Amino acid sequence: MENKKKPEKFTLLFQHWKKYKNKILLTNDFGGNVEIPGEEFESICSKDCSLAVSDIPQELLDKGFAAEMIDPEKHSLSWVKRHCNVMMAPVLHIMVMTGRCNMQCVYCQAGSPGKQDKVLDMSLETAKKAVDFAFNTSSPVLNFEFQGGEPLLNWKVLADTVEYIREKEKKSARTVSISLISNFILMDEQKADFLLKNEITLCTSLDGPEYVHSKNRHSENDISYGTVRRWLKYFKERHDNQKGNSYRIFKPGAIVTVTKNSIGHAKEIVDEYVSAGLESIYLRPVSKIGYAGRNWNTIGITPAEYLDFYSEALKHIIELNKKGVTISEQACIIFCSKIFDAGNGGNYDVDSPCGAGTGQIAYNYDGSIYTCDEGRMLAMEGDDIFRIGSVDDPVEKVLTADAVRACKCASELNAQAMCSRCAYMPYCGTCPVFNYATQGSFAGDMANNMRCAVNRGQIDFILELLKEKDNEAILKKWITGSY
Amino acid sequence: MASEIIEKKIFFASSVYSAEAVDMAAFILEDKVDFVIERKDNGMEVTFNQFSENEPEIFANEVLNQQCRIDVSKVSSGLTKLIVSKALISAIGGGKRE
Repeated sequence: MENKKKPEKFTLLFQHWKKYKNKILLTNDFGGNVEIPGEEFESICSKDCSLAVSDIPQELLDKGFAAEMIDPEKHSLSWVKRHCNVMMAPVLHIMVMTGRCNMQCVYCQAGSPGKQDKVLDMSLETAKKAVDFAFNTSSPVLNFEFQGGEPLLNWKVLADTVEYIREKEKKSARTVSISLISNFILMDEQKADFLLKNEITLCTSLDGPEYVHSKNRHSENDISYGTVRRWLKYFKERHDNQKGNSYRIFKPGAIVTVTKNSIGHAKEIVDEYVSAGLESIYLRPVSKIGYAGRNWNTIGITPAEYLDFYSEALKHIIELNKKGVTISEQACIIFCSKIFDAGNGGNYDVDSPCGAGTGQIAYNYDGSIYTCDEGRMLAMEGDDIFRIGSVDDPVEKVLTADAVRACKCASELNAQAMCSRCAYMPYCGTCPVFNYATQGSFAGDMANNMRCAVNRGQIDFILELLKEKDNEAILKKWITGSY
Repeated sequence: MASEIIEKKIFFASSVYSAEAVDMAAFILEDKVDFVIERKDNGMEVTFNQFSENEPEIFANEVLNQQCRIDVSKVSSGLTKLIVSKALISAIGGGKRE
Protein backbone atom coordinates (compact mmCIF):
# COMPACT_ATOMS: atom_id res chain seq x y z
CA MET A 1 0.00 0.00 0.00
CA GLU A 2 2.88 2.39 0.81
CA ASN A 3 4.11 2.58 -2.79
CA LYS A 4 0.71 3.18 -4.34
CA LYS A 5 -0.43 6.67 -5.18
CA LYS A 6 -3.21 7.68 -2.77
CA PRO A 7 -6.54 7.81 -4.62
CA GLU A 8 -8.38 11.09 -4.94
CA LYS A 9 -11.82 9.53 -4.74
CA PHE A 10 -13.03 6.72 -2.49
CA THR A 11 -15.85 4.22 -2.61
CA LEU A 12 -17.25 3.65 0.86
CA LEU A 13 -18.45 0.19 1.86
CA PHE A 14 -20.97 0.19 4.68
CA GLN A 15 -21.51 -3.45 5.45
CA HIS A 16 -23.16 -3.20 8.85
CA TRP A 17 -24.53 -0.25 10.70
CA LYS A 18 -26.70 0.60 13.65
CA LYS A 19 -28.36 3.77 14.88
CA TYR A 20 -27.28 4.27 18.46
CA LYS A 21 -28.64 7.29 20.31
CA ASN A 22 -27.92 10.17 17.85
CA LYS A 23 -24.95 8.46 16.23
CA ILE A 24 -24.39 5.75 13.69
CA LEU A 25 -22.11 2.82 14.52
CA LEU A 26 -20.46 1.35 11.41
CA THR A 27 -18.65 -2.00 11.37
CA ASN A 28 -17.13 -4.16 8.66
CA ASP A 29 -16.01 -7.75 8.20
CA PHE A 30 -12.42 -6.79 9.10
CA GLY A 31 -13.66 -5.90 12.59
CA GLY A 32 -13.27 -2.17 12.05
CA ASN A 33 -15.75 -0.01 13.98
CA VAL A 34 -16.39 3.73 13.76
CA GLU A 35 -19.04 5.91 15.31
CA ILE A 36 -20.06 9.02 13.38
CA PRO A 37 -22.79 11.61 14.01
CA GLY A 38 -26.11 10.87 12.32
CA GLU A 39 -26.00 14.05 10.21
CA GLU A 40 -22.54 13.20 8.90
CA PHE A 41 -23.71 9.70 7.94
CA GLU A 42 -26.70 11.12 6.08
CA SER A 43 -24.47 13.65 4.34
CA ILE A 44 -22.12 10.89 3.15
CA CYS A 45 -25.01 8.70 2.02
CA SER A 46 -26.60 11.56 0.07
CA LYS A 47 -23.52 11.95 -2.13
CA ASP A 48 -22.43 9.78 -5.04
CA CYS A 49 -20.68 6.48 -4.35
CA SER A 50 -17.37 8.09 -5.16
CA LEU A 51 -16.32 10.63 -2.52
CA ALA A 52 -13.44 13.06 -2.21
CA VAL A 53 -11.08 12.58 0.72
CA SER A 54 -12.29 15.84 2.26
CA ASP A 55 -15.80 14.36 2.55
CA ILE A 56 -14.71 11.33 4.56
CA PRO A 57 -13.69 11.07 8.23
CA GLN A 58 -10.08 9.79 8.34
CA GLU A 59 -11.10 7.00 10.71
CA LEU A 60 -13.24 5.44 7.98
CA LEU A 61 -10.25 5.36 5.64
CA ASP A 62 -8.00 3.89 8.34
CA LYS A 63 -10.35 1.09 9.35
CA GLY A 64 -11.12 -0.59 6.04
CA PHE A 65 -14.33 1.24 5.07
CA ALA A 66 -13.03 2.48 1.71
CA ALA A 67 -12.60 -0.03 -1.10
CA GLU A 68 -9.44 1.71 -2.37
CA MET A 69 -7.80 1.51 1.08
CA ILE A 70 -8.34 -2.21 1.71
CA ASP A 71 -5.05 -4.01 2.27
CA PRO A 72 -5.91 -7.62 1.31
CA GLU A 73 -3.15 -9.18 3.39
CA LYS A 74 -3.74 -7.14 6.52
CA HIS A 75 -7.52 -7.23 6.40
CA SER A 76 -7.81 -10.91 5.51
CA LEU A 77 -5.50 -11.72 8.43
CA SER A 78 -7.81 -9.73 10.66
CA TRP A 79 -10.77 -11.82 9.48
CA VAL A 80 -8.87 -15.07 10.00
CA LYS A 81 -7.86 -14.08 13.56
CA ARG A 82 -11.49 -13.57 14.55
CA HIS A 83 -12.69 -16.74 12.81
CA CYS A 84 -9.68 -18.96 13.44
CA ASN A 85 -11.82 -22.03 14.13
CA VAL A 86 -12.49 -22.11 10.35
CA MET A 87 -8.82 -22.81 9.80
CA MET A 88 -8.26 -25.65 12.24
CA ALA A 89 -9.14 -29.16 13.33
CA PRO A 90 -10.82 -29.80 16.72
CA VAL A 91 -8.76 -28.54 19.63
CA LEU A 92 -11.19 -29.10 22.51
CA HIS A 93 -12.08 -32.73 23.26
CA ILE A 94 -14.68 -32.99 26.00
CA MET A 95 -14.61 -36.34 27.79
CA VAL A 96 -17.78 -37.06 29.75
CA MET A 97 -16.49 -39.60 32.24
CA THR A 98 -19.89 -40.37 33.74
CA GLY A 99 -23.54 -39.37 33.63
CA ARG A 100 -23.70 -39.78 37.41
CA CYS A 101 -23.50 -36.88 39.79
CA ASN A 102 -23.46 -36.42 43.55
CA MET A 103 -25.27 -33.08 43.38
CA GLN A 104 -28.64 -31.82 42.16
CA CYS A 105 -28.08 -28.38 40.72
CA VAL A 106 -31.20 -26.46 39.72
CA TYR A 107 -29.97 -25.86 36.18
CA CYS A 108 -27.96 -28.99 35.57
CA GLN A 109 -27.94 -29.42 31.86
CA ALA A 110 -26.25 -32.79 32.25
CA GLY A 111 -29.57 -34.02 33.66
CA SER A 112 -27.56 -36.13 36.04
CA PRO A 113 -29.71 -38.94 37.48
CA GLY A 114 -27.95 -39.45 40.83
CA LYS A 115 -24.86 -41.31 41.92
CA GLN A 116 -25.98 -44.93 41.89
CA ASP A 117 -26.02 -46.22 38.34
CA LYS A 118 -22.51 -47.26 37.25
CA VAL A 119 -23.72 -48.22 33.80
CA LEU A 120 -23.42 -44.50 33.14
CA ASP A 121 -19.64 -44.57 33.60
CA MET A 122 -17.21 -44.40 30.69
CA SER A 123 -15.15 -47.60 30.52
CA LEU A 124 -11.37 -47.46 30.18
CA GLU A 125 -11.64 -49.10 26.77
CA THR A 126 -14.03 -46.36 25.56
CA ALA A 127 -11.90 -43.63 27.11
CA LYS A 128 -8.78 -44.89 25.34
CA LYS A 129 -10.66 -45.07 22.04
CA ALA A 130 -11.78 -41.47 22.54
CA VAL A 131 -8.18 -40.41 23.22
CA ASP A 132 -7.01 -42.31 20.13
CA PHE A 133 -9.72 -40.57 18.10
CA ALA A 134 -8.54 -37.17 19.34
CA PHE A 135 -4.92 -37.96 18.45
CA ASN A 136 -6.09 -39.06 15.00
CA THR A 137 -7.40 -35.56 14.32
CA SER A 138 -4.84 -33.18 12.94
CA SER A 139 -4.69 -30.20 15.29
CA PRO A 140 -1.17 -29.64 16.67
CA VAL A 141 -2.84 -28.55 19.92
CA LEU A 142 -5.18 -30.82 21.90
CA ASN A 143 -7.10 -29.81 24.99
CA PHE A 144 -8.82 -32.62 26.88
CA GLU A 145 -11.54 -31.48 29.24
CA PHE A 146 -12.83 -34.06 31.73
CA GLN A 147 -16.35 -33.48 32.99
CA GLY A 148 -19.61 -35.29 33.67
CA GLY A 149 -21.95 -35.53 35.73
CA GLU A 150 -19.21 -35.52 38.34
CA PRO A 151 -16.03 -37.01 36.81
CA LEU A 152 -14.45 -37.89 40.18
CA LEU A 153 -17.19 -40.55 40.58
CA ASN A 154 -15.27 -42.49 37.89
CA TRP A 155 -11.86 -41.79 39.36
CA LYS A 156 -9.97 -44.98 38.42
CA VAL A 157 -10.83 -44.65 34.73
CA LEU A 158 -10.13 -40.91 34.79
CA ALA A 159 -6.67 -41.41 36.30
CA ASP A 160 -5.80 -44.23 33.89
CA THR A 161 -6.97 -42.10 30.96
CA VAL A 162 -4.79 -39.17 32.08
CA GLU A 163 -1.77 -41.46 32.14
CA TYR A 164 -2.70 -42.80 28.70
CA ILE A 165 -2.93 -39.26 27.32
CA ARG A 166 0.46 -38.31 28.74
CA GLU A 167 2.02 -41.47 27.27
CA LYS A 168 0.64 -40.68 23.82
CA GLU A 169 1.75 -37.07 24.18
CA LYS A 170 5.37 -38.13 24.73
CA LYS A 171 5.35 -40.06 21.45
CA SER A 172 3.71 -37.21 19.51
CA ALA A 173 4.63 -33.68 18.50
CA ARG A 174 1.40 -32.29 19.92
CA THR A 175 0.95 -29.71 22.62
CA VAL A 176 -1.53 -31.32 25.02
CA SER A 177 -3.32 -29.71 27.93
CA ILE A 178 -5.81 -31.33 30.26
CA SER A 179 -8.46 -29.73 32.42
CA LEU A 180 -10.97 -31.11 34.90
CA ILE A 181 -14.38 -29.63 35.72
CA SER A 182 -15.46 -30.91 39.12
CA ASN A 183 -17.63 -29.98 42.11
CA PHE A 184 -14.67 -31.08 44.34
CA ILE A 185 -16.90 -33.00 46.77
CA LEU A 186 -14.88 -36.21 46.25
CA MET A 187 -11.52 -34.42 46.11
CA ASP A 188 -8.80 -35.55 48.52
CA GLU A 189 -5.04 -34.98 48.84
CA GLN A 190 -4.14 -38.13 46.92
CA LYS A 191 -6.32 -37.20 43.96
CA ALA A 192 -5.16 -33.59 44.13
CA ASP A 193 -1.49 -34.66 44.04
CA PHE A 194 -2.07 -36.90 41.04
CA LEU A 195 -3.95 -34.20 39.14
CA LEU A 196 -1.37 -31.51 39.88
CA LYS A 197 1.60 -33.74 39.02
CA ASN A 198 -0.04 -34.41 35.66
CA GLU A 199 -0.39 -30.63 35.10
CA ILE A 200 -4.17 -30.65 35.02
CA THR A 201 -6.00 -27.34 35.23
CA LEU A 202 -8.79 -27.50 37.79
CA CYS A 203 -12.08 -25.72 37.33
CA THR A 204 -15.24 -25.70 39.42
CA SER A 205 -18.56 -23.86 39.81
CA LEU A 206 -18.87 -21.11 42.36
CA ASP A 207 -22.18 -19.32 41.94
CA GLY A 208 -21.51 -16.65 44.57
CA PRO A 209 -21.68 -16.25 48.34
CA GLU A 210 -23.05 -19.21 50.28
CA TYR A 211 -26.66 -17.97 50.26
CA VAL A 212 -26.65 -17.79 46.42
CA HIS A 213 -24.45 -20.81 45.70
CA SER A 214 -26.48 -23.18 47.88
CA LYS A 215 -29.79 -22.12 46.29
CA ASN A 216 -28.41 -23.07 42.86
CA ARG A 217 -26.25 -26.06 43.74
CA HIS A 218 -27.87 -28.57 46.10
CA SER A 219 -25.65 -31.08 47.81
CA GLU A 220 -26.15 -33.58 50.63
CA ASN A 221 -25.82 -31.71 53.94
CA ASP A 222 -25.21 -28.54 51.92
CA ILE A 223 -21.48 -29.05 51.85
CA SER A 224 -20.87 -27.72 48.32
CA TYR A 225 -19.99 -24.10 49.12
CA GLY A 226 -17.54 -24.93 51.92
CA THR A 227 -15.96 -27.70 49.84
CA VAL A 228 -15.45 -25.46 46.83
CA ARG A 229 -13.94 -22.64 48.89
CA ARG A 230 -11.64 -25.04 50.74
CA TRP A 231 -10.25 -26.67 47.58
CA LEU A 232 -9.92 -23.41 45.68
CA LYS A 233 -7.78 -22.15 48.56
CA TYR A 234 -5.75 -25.37 48.52
CA PHE A 235 -5.08 -25.30 44.77
CA LYS A 236 -4.27 -21.60 44.82
CA GLU A 237 -1.74 -22.14 47.61
CA ARG A 238 -0.19 -25.04 45.73
CA HIS A 239 0.05 -22.77 42.67
CA ASP A 240 1.57 -19.87 44.61
CA ASN A 241 4.15 -22.12 46.33
CA GLN A 242 5.21 -24.25 43.37
CA LYS A 243 8.81 -23.02 43.09
CA GLY A 244 11.19 -25.95 42.69
CA ASN A 245 8.53 -28.30 41.30
CA SER A 246 9.35 -30.45 38.29
CA TYR A 247 5.80 -29.89 37.06
CA ARG A 248 3.68 -26.80 36.47
CA ILE A 249 0.66 -26.04 38.63
CA PHE A 250 -1.95 -23.81 36.98
CA LYS A 251 -4.24 -21.40 38.78
CA PRO A 252 -7.63 -22.94 39.56
CA GLY A 253 -10.69 -21.38 37.96
CA ALA A 254 -14.42 -21.18 38.51
CA ILE A 255 -17.54 -20.17 36.61
CA VAL A 256 -20.89 -18.70 37.59
CA THR A 257 -24.27 -19.73 36.28
CA VAL A 258 -26.57 -16.74 36.67
CA THR A 259 -30.14 -17.69 37.59
CA LYS A 260 -33.07 -15.95 39.22
CA ASN A 261 -31.33 -16.70 42.53
CA SER A 262 -28.38 -14.54 41.43
CA ILE A 263 -30.39 -11.44 40.56
CA GLY A 264 -29.79 -8.59 42.98
CA HIS A 265 -26.42 -10.01 44.11
CA ALA A 266 -24.10 -8.98 41.23
CA LYS A 267 -21.56 -7.15 43.39
CA GLU A 268 -21.56 -9.81 46.10
CA ILE A 269 -20.88 -12.53 43.52
CA VAL A 270 -17.92 -10.61 42.11
CA ASP A 271 -16.62 -9.91 45.65
CA GLU A 272 -16.90 -13.63 46.44
CA TYR A 273 -14.55 -14.41 43.54
CA VAL A 274 -12.08 -11.79 44.70
CA SER A 275 -12.15 -13.13 48.25
CA ALA A 276 -11.58 -16.67 46.90
CA GLY A 277 -8.39 -15.42 45.22
CA LEU A 278 -9.76 -15.97 41.72
CA GLU A 279 -8.59 -13.61 38.99
CA SER A 280 -11.24 -14.37 36.41
CA ILE A 281 -15.02 -14.74 36.48
CA TYR A 282 -17.34 -15.95 33.73
CA LEU A 283 -20.89 -14.67 34.23
CA ARG A 284 -22.89 -17.09 32.09
CA PRO A 285 -26.69 -16.78 32.00
CA VAL A 286 -28.60 -20.01 32.66
CA SER A 287 -29.55 -21.71 29.38
CA LYS A 288 -33.04 -23.09 28.76
CA ILE A 289 -31.77 -26.52 27.76
CA GLY A 290 -32.56 -29.84 29.41
CA TYR A 291 -33.17 -29.83 33.14
CA ALA A 292 -32.97 -26.03 33.29
CA GLY A 293 -35.80 -25.83 30.77
CA ARG A 294 -38.03 -27.97 32.97
CA ASN A 295 -37.19 -25.80 35.96
CA TRP A 296 -37.44 -22.48 34.10
CA ASN A 297 -40.30 -21.03 36.14
CA THR A 298 -38.12 -21.22 39.23
CA ILE A 299 -34.72 -20.27 37.88
CA GLY A 300 -35.21 -18.60 34.49
CA ILE A 301 -34.24 -15.02 33.75
CA THR A 302 -35.12 -12.71 30.87
CA PRO A 303 -32.41 -11.09 28.73
CA ALA A 304 -33.24 -7.74 30.35
CA GLU A 305 -32.78 -9.16 33.86
CA TYR A 306 -29.48 -10.75 32.89
CA LEU A 307 -28.19 -7.60 31.19
CA ASP A 308 -29.00 -5.45 34.23
CA PHE A 309 -27.13 -7.97 36.36
CA TYR A 310 -24.22 -8.12 33.91
CA SER A 311 -23.79 -4.37 33.58
CA GLU A 312 -23.81 -3.94 37.37
CA ALA A 313 -21.26 -6.74 37.77
CA LEU A 314 -18.99 -5.46 34.99
CA LYS A 315 -19.04 -1.89 36.30
CA HIS A 316 -18.06 -3.21 39.72
CA ILE A 317 -15.26 -5.31 38.20
CA ILE A 318 -13.90 -2.27 36.33
CA GLU A 319 -13.96 -0.22 39.54
CA LEU A 320 -12.09 -2.98 41.37
CA ASN A 321 -9.49 -2.98 38.58
CA LYS A 322 -9.04 0.77 39.02
CA LYS A 323 -8.24 0.09 42.69
CA GLY A 324 -5.58 -2.43 41.69
CA VAL A 325 -7.59 -5.66 42.14
CA THR A 326 -6.84 -8.32 39.50
CA ILE A 327 -10.17 -9.64 38.24
CA SER A 328 -11.39 -9.96 34.66
CA GLU A 329 -14.65 -11.14 33.10
CA GLN A 330 -14.52 -13.85 30.47
CA ALA A 331 -17.48 -12.87 28.23
CA CYS A 332 -16.04 -9.37 28.02
CA ILE A 333 -12.65 -10.82 27.04
CA ILE A 334 -14.29 -12.84 24.26
CA PHE A 335 -15.98 -9.79 22.73
CA CYS A 336 -13.04 -7.44 23.30
CA SER A 337 -10.64 -9.88 21.64
CA LYS A 338 -12.69 -9.53 18.48
CA ILE A 339 -13.21 -5.77 18.83
CA PHE A 340 -9.48 -5.15 19.37
CA ASP A 341 -8.46 -7.51 16.56
CA ALA A 342 -6.72 -9.86 19.00
CA GLY A 343 -8.34 -13.13 18.05
CA ASN A 344 -11.59 -14.95 18.71
CA GLY A 345 -11.40 -15.04 22.50
CA GLY A 346 -11.05 -18.84 22.62
CA ASN A 347 -14.77 -19.51 22.67
CA TYR A 348 -16.46 -21.82 20.16
CA ASP A 349 -20.08 -20.75 20.36
CA VAL A 350 -19.66 -16.99 19.96
CA ASP A 351 -18.20 -17.43 16.51
CA SER A 352 -19.27 -17.51 12.89
CA PRO A 353 -19.56 -20.33 12.06
CA CYS A 354 -19.64 -21.90 15.52
CA GLY A 355 -17.09 -24.52 16.49
CA ALA A 356 -19.55 -27.41 16.79
CA GLY A 357 -17.86 -30.50 15.45
CA THR A 358 -14.82 -28.62 14.15
CA GLY A 359 -13.39 -26.57 17.02
CA GLN A 360 -14.69 -28.90 19.71
CA ILE A 361 -16.28 -32.32 20.02
CA ALA A 362 -17.82 -34.15 22.98
CA TYR A 363 -17.36 -37.85 23.76
CA ASN A 364 -20.20 -39.27 25.85
CA TYR A 365 -19.61 -42.03 28.42
CA ASP A 366 -21.04 -44.62 26.00
CA GLY A 367 -18.58 -43.72 23.21
CA SER A 368 -21.03 -41.62 21.18
CA ILE A 369 -19.58 -38.42 19.76
CA TYR A 370 -21.52 -35.16 19.60
CA THR A 371 -20.98 -31.78 17.95
CA CYS A 372 -20.46 -30.16 21.35
CA ASP A 373 -21.40 -30.59 24.99
CA GLU A 374 -24.73 -28.83 24.55
CA GLY A 375 -25.59 -31.23 21.72
CA ARG A 376 -24.75 -34.11 24.03
CA MET A 377 -26.94 -32.67 26.78
CA LEU A 378 -29.86 -32.56 24.38
CA ALA A 379 -29.30 -36.25 23.67
CA MET A 380 -29.54 -36.97 27.39
CA GLU A 381 -33.03 -35.46 27.14
CA GLY A 382 -33.91 -37.92 24.37
CA ASP A 383 -33.02 -36.04 21.15
CA ASP A 384 -29.77 -37.21 19.53
CA ILE A 385 -29.94 -35.00 16.45
CA PHE A 386 -26.46 -33.68 17.26
CA ARG A 387 -24.87 -37.13 17.46
CA ILE A 388 -22.18 -37.34 14.78
CA GLY A 389 -20.74 -40.79 15.29
CA SER A 390 -18.86 -42.94 17.74
CA VAL A 391 -15.29 -43.57 18.85
CA ASP A 392 -15.26 -46.58 16.49
CA ASP A 393 -15.92 -44.42 13.41
CA PRO A 394 -13.28 -42.90 11.11
CA VAL A 395 -12.36 -39.29 11.86
CA GLU A 396 -13.38 -37.93 8.44
CA LYS A 397 -16.83 -39.51 8.65
CA VAL A 398 -17.50 -38.02 12.09
CA LEU A 399 -16.19 -34.51 11.41
CA THR A 400 -18.17 -34.15 8.19
CA ALA A 401 -21.39 -35.70 9.54
CA ASP A 402 -24.73 -34.15 8.60
CA ALA A 403 -25.16 -32.44 11.97
CA VAL A 404 -21.72 -30.79 11.67
CA ARG A 405 -22.53 -29.47 8.19
CA ALA A 406 -25.95 -28.25 9.33
CA CYS A 407 -24.47 -26.47 12.36
CA LYS A 408 -21.89 -24.77 10.16
CA CYS A 409 -24.46 -23.57 7.63
CA ALA A 410 -26.89 -22.41 10.30
CA SER A 411 -24.28 -20.49 12.29
CA GLU A 412 -22.50 -18.80 9.38
CA LEU A 413 -23.87 -15.34 10.01
CA ASN A 414 -23.78 -14.11 6.41
CA ALA A 415 -26.67 -16.51 5.83
CA GLN A 416 -28.72 -15.35 8.81
CA ALA A 417 -31.50 -12.89 8.04
CA MET A 418 -30.97 -10.50 10.94
CA CYS A 419 -27.28 -11.14 11.61
CA SER A 420 -26.04 -10.48 8.08
CA ARG A 421 -26.82 -6.77 8.45
CA CYS A 422 -26.29 -6.44 12.20
CA ALA A 423 -23.59 -3.99 13.30
CA TYR A 424 -22.31 -6.61 15.75
CA MET A 425 -21.96 -9.42 13.24
CA PRO A 426 -18.12 -9.20 13.13
CA TYR A 427 -18.02 -9.85 16.90
CA CYS A 428 -20.85 -12.29 17.42
CA GLY A 429 -22.01 -15.85 16.94
CA THR A 430 -25.07 -18.05 17.26
CA CYS A 431 -25.49 -21.51 18.77
CA PRO A 432 -27.49 -23.98 16.63
CA VAL A 433 -28.07 -26.24 19.65
CA PHE A 434 -29.56 -23.39 21.67
CA ASN A 435 -31.63 -22.28 18.67
CA TYR A 436 -32.95 -25.80 18.08
CA ALA A 437 -33.67 -26.45 21.76
CA THR A 438 -35.50 -23.16 22.33
CA GLN A 439 -36.92 -22.26 18.90
CA GLY A 440 -37.15 -25.50 16.94
CA SER A 441 -34.62 -24.83 14.16
CA PHE A 442 -30.83 -24.73 13.85
CA ALA A 443 -30.88 -21.19 12.46
CA GLY A 444 -33.41 -19.97 15.02
CA ASP A 445 -35.30 -16.70 14.87
CA MET A 446 -32.96 -13.95 16.06
CA ALA A 447 -35.77 -11.43 16.57
CA ASN A 448 -36.98 -13.58 19.51
CA ASN A 449 -33.75 -15.32 20.45
CA MET A 450 -32.53 -14.95 24.04
CA ARG A 451 -28.86 -15.40 23.22
CA CYS A 452 -29.06 -12.79 20.47
CA ALA A 453 -30.61 -10.31 22.89
CA VAL A 454 -27.95 -11.08 25.50
CA ASN A 455 -25.05 -10.80 23.03
CA ARG A 456 -26.35 -7.52 21.62
CA GLY A 457 -26.84 -6.10 25.10
CA GLN A 458 -23.37 -7.14 26.23
CA ILE A 459 -21.69 -5.64 23.16
CA ASP A 460 -23.76 -2.43 23.54
CA PHE A 461 -22.51 -2.12 27.10
CA ILE A 462 -18.89 -2.96 26.30
CA LEU A 463 -18.74 -0.43 23.43
CA GLU A 464 -20.14 2.20 25.79
CA LEU A 465 -17.48 1.33 28.40
CA LEU A 466 -14.74 1.60 25.77
CA LYS A 467 -15.50 5.28 25.21
CA GLU A 468 -13.55 6.01 28.38
CA LYS A 469 -9.78 5.69 27.93
CA ASP A 470 -9.28 4.26 31.46
CA ASN A 471 -11.75 1.47 30.76
CA GLU A 472 -10.18 0.76 27.38
CA ALA A 473 -6.76 0.36 28.98
CA ILE A 474 -8.14 -2.11 31.54
CA LEU A 475 -9.96 -4.22 28.94
CA LYS A 476 -6.90 -4.30 26.68
CA LYS A 477 -4.83 -5.46 29.63
CA TRP A 478 -7.27 -8.36 30.20
CA ILE A 479 -6.68 -9.54 26.65
CA THR A 480 -2.91 -9.31 26.88
CA GLY A 481 -2.98 -11.05 30.23
CA SER A 482 -5.13 -13.86 28.96
CA TYR A 483 -3.71 -14.55 25.52
CA MET B 1 -73.83 -27.88 24.50
CA ALA B 2 -72.12 -27.74 21.06
CA SER B 3 -68.47 -26.68 21.24
CA GLU B 4 -67.50 -23.73 19.18
CA ILE B 5 -64.74 -24.25 16.63
CA ILE B 6 -62.67 -21.21 16.09
CA GLU B 7 -61.01 -21.10 12.73
CA LYS B 8 -58.54 -18.64 11.28
CA LYS B 9 -57.00 -18.65 7.85
CA ILE B 10 -53.83 -16.96 6.68
CA PHE B 11 -52.97 -16.82 3.00
CA PHE B 12 -49.28 -16.66 2.06
CA ALA B 13 -49.06 -15.27 -1.46
CA SER B 14 -46.40 -16.89 -3.64
CA SER B 15 -45.36 -13.44 -4.88
CA VAL B 16 -43.88 -12.86 -1.40
CA TYR B 17 -43.60 -16.22 0.37
CA SER B 18 -42.11 -19.33 -1.16
CA ALA B 19 -43.60 -22.77 -0.50
CA GLU B 20 -40.28 -23.68 1.13
CA ALA B 21 -40.72 -20.97 3.76
CA VAL B 22 -44.23 -22.13 4.63
CA ASP B 23 -43.13 -25.77 4.70
CA MET B 24 -40.18 -24.96 6.99
CA ALA B 25 -42.42 -23.09 9.39
CA ALA B 26 -44.84 -26.01 9.36
CA PHE B 27 -42.02 -28.44 10.15
CA ILE B 28 -40.76 -26.33 13.04
CA LEU B 29 -44.17 -25.76 14.59
CA GLU B 30 -46.00 -28.99 13.79
CA ASP B 31 -45.88 -30.16 17.42
CA LYS B 32 -47.00 -26.83 18.82
CA VAL B 33 -49.69 -25.50 16.50
CA ASP B 34 -52.76 -27.21 15.01
CA PHE B 35 -53.04 -26.30 11.31
CA VAL B 36 -53.81 -27.57 7.82
CA ILE B 37 -52.02 -26.36 4.70
CA GLU B 38 -53.74 -26.14 1.34
CA ARG B 39 -51.69 -25.33 -1.74
CA LYS B 40 -53.46 -22.97 -4.11
CA ASP B 41 -52.42 -21.62 -7.53
CA ASN B 42 -51.09 -18.35 -6.21
CA GLY B 43 -49.94 -19.33 -2.75
CA MET B 44 -50.53 -21.42 0.36
CA GLU B 45 -53.54 -21.18 2.64
CA VAL B 46 -53.04 -22.21 6.25
CA THR B 47 -56.10 -22.92 8.37
CA PHE B 48 -55.73 -22.89 12.14
CA ASN B 49 -58.26 -24.88 14.15
CA GLN B 50 -59.01 -24.37 17.83
CA PHE B 51 -56.01 -22.20 18.39
CA SER B 52 -55.27 -20.45 21.61
CA GLU B 53 -53.40 -17.21 22.23
CA ASN B 54 -51.50 -16.02 19.18
CA GLU B 55 -50.53 -19.25 17.48
CA PRO B 56 -51.46 -18.05 13.95
CA GLU B 57 -49.26 -15.00 14.48
CA ILE B 58 -46.40 -17.20 15.70
CA PHE B 59 -46.76 -19.30 12.56
CA ALA B 60 -46.80 -16.21 10.31
CA ASN B 61 -43.74 -14.88 12.10
CA GLU B 62 -41.86 -18.10 11.49
CA VAL B 63 -42.80 -18.04 7.78
CA LEU B 64 -41.44 -14.49 7.59
CA ASN B 65 -38.27 -15.57 9.39
CA GLN B 66 -37.74 -18.45 6.96
CA GLN B 67 -38.46 -16.31 3.91
CA CYS B 68 -35.97 -13.68 5.07
CA ARG B 69 -33.37 -16.42 5.50
CA ILE B 70 -34.07 -17.73 1.98
CA ASP B 71 -33.84 -14.22 0.51
CA VAL B 72 -30.55 -13.49 2.29
CA SER B 73 -29.04 -16.80 1.25
CA LYS B 74 -29.70 -15.97 -2.43
CA VAL B 75 -27.21 -13.13 -1.99
CA SER B 76 -24.76 -14.70 0.43
CA SER B 77 -24.84 -18.42 -0.37
CA GLY B 78 -21.59 -18.28 -2.35
CA LEU B 79 -19.72 -16.75 0.58
CA THR B 80 -21.34 -19.09 3.11
CA LYS B 81 -20.42 -22.15 1.03
CA LEU B 82 -16.82 -20.97 0.83
CA ILE B 83 -16.51 -20.46 4.57
CA VAL B 84 -18.33 -23.66 5.53
CA SER B 85 -16.28 -25.71 3.05
CA LYS B 86 -13.07 -24.27 4.46
CA ALA B 87 -14.18 -25.10 8.00
CA LEU B 88 -14.99 -28.70 7.11
CA ILE B 89 -11.78 -29.21 5.13
CA SER B 90 -9.73 -27.73 7.98
CA ALA B 91 -11.48 -29.99 10.47
CA ILE B 92 -10.38 -33.15 8.66
CA GLY B 93 -6.91 -31.68 8.25
CA GLY B 94 -6.18 -33.06 4.83
CA GLY B 95 -5.57 -36.49 6.35
CA LYS B 96 -2.58 -35.47 8.52
CA ARG B 97 -1.75 -38.11 11.10
CA GLU B 98 0.89 -38.73 13.75
